[in-house]
Amino acid sequence: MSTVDLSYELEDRSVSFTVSEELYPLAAIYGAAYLFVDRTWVFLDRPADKQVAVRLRAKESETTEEALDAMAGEFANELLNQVLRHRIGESTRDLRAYTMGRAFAGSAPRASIDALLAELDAEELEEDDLEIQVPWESPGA
Amino acid sequence: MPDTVRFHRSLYDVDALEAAAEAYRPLATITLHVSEHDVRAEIDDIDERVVDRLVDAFCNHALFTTIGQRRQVTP
Repeated sequence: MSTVDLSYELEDRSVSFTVSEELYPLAAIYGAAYLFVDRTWVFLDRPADKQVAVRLRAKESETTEEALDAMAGEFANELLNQVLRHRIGESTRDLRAYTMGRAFAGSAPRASIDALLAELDAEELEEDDLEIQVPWESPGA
Repeated sequence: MPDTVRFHRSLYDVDALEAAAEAYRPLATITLHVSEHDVRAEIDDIDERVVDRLVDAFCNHALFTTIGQRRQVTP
């Protein structure tokens, strides 16, 4: 069973770990980091090819190893969530493109305002069966 | 002695680092040295009011902007 090596630096209020891009695409790492930047200081580095080092640093002035451990755990959970989102996005990319293409190709062109006004001008309301006759225009008046 | 932070270019965009440096210009002197694989940021003359967090905030700003930019160009 493989484990993730977490490196704690309590004086620096930080926890660091390395993730493999072969397991976690960069888009997923970015996705998790994006959600953490408002809660913690995030720094990414590349110690080796296909490896991304993540350092999370608590914004609070004091922290404990348990708090840092929880922060790293939350980040790891979010990483898994982002991987799933990324894979679903990739696997449904063609289907989404096809659906969008059908939606746009099948819709009728939208009439412009000018075309609608011209249509109204050309309309013969008098010939409309539902046109309500006014007394001063009726032939017998 | 300035703080020096090295940003790998595969993870951080130069544009984003330049934008972050511009954003924090009133609070510190930030000089970027761009090389083939990384960007070295030298951060000096930090405003005393934010000396404890400016470097971290600069890193977050650059990362946030990089992610935003890369998401926009991803099809």
